[in-house]
Amino acid sequence: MAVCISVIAKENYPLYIRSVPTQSELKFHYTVHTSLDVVEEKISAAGKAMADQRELYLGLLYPTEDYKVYGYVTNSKVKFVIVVDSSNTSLRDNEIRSMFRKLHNSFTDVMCNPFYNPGDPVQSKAFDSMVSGMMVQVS
Amino acid sequence: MTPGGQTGSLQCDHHVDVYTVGRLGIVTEVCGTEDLGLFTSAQFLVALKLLAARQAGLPISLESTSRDLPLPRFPGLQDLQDPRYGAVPQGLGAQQDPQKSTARLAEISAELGCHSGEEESDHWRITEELQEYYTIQFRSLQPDLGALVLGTDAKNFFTRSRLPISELSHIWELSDVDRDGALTFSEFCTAFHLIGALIHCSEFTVTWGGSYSSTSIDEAMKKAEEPPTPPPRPQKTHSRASSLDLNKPPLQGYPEKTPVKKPLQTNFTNFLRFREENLIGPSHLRVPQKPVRRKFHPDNPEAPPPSSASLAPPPKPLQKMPSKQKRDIQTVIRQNKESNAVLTRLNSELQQQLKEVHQQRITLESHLDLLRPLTSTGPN
Repeated sequence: MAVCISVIAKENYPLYIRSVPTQSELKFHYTVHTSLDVVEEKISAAGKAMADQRELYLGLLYPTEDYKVYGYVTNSKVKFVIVVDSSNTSLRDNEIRSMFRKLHNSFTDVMCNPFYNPGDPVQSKAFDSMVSGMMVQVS
Repeated sequence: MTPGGQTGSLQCDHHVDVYTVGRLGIVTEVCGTEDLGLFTSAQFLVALKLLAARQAGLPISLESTSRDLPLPRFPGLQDLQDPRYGAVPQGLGAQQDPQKSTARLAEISAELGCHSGEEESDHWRITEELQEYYTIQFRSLQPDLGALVLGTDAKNFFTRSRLPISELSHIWELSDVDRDGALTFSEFCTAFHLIGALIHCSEFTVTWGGSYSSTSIDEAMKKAEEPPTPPPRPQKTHSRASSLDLNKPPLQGYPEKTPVKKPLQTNFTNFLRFREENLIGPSHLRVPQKPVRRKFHPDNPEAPPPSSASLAPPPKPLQKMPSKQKRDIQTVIRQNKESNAVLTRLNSELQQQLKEVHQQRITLESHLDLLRPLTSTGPN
């Protein structure tokens, strides 16, 4: 159950960003932005090792005392960043992986839509509903 | 309703497309018909009740038939005395000009959806005529019916419908069920049908966003009980190339066809007028539409008197006003009078349609009441 989910384009601008307690939206935007550095670092580290065997799931990017940030990068350099609450310690690694997998599948569906121009913000309702399903429910 | 008379059986798969079998099968099972696809009149009425239940969102079972449900809605189900049915379709004509294609689709969808004057017509039916049309259009993009239309081709084709890209994108998401970036023939028909419905009935977008996924749209399309009357035939007599430009009233001497044209054009004008404001919130689109219509009727007898009365006293002050303004006011008054006349005619026609629908409802309900003891003691 994520607190913030974002999709970053290859050129490092956001295509889609959504966070759940909307008053702390700015904080999450900032977190995602700073996490991009870590993502780049991981990509370049893995890239030097083996260019073709890079793992898509990057794992925990960095933990803070409030929350943890996980990253995932696709083969077209589109990055997904998920921020989860640290208090929610029961989230296991493969749950995070499955969240990323669902995100990747939905994003692929959005890409397959010929009316979507790559580089545009993602406005698909199906993608929105999938993301809402993964976010923390706050009444 | 039953072509074979009350005692005969109705062939249920008379015109059912190959992919409509699924949901209808459940209905036939519950009705107690065998797999032959034949309905007796009692079972036919039970089936109708089940379809009403399904359209109201209830599960298909005998318990839901005992509730009071609105009548099931079949688009294109017309009054048998309607003079338009004299014109039997002479073949769709393969010479469909691409520029006229959107206008033609507009006609067809209007016939399908907006005739009954009810707020939410069910547009999911694809008649044979539409099926032919879709086949022709598909062939123009991709000659092999079993193969796929690529995404870019489909995009260029549907962009011609002049809908906003967000709506087209959403339609794509709903119709491309296998998510491959290309459309099979059935996916293409789905998308085309949705576009046609969307162009015509703005309230469509409310239910769209809320409750329909792509699979449920396919299911909805499978509710194909073919009405016994032939499919409605859009008029080809006068050019529809300007069908989307509709502020002129349709007074050009097509007496028996104006009943159709009026609701079509009013829906058009209202839709176009409101379209720029809000495509997503049509629930309040209908609200301004209805009071506007109703307002014109009672105001109509009063509108000419006040206008004439207002024209009489202010000749003196008008002489002081510049003549240009006076002319403007008079043209505006004239236009308002014309639109008043159109709307009152429309209103009376809609009232007639409403009465007819009420009568149908009453007869159906009386039949159902007769059959209720039968259904409750029927199979399963």
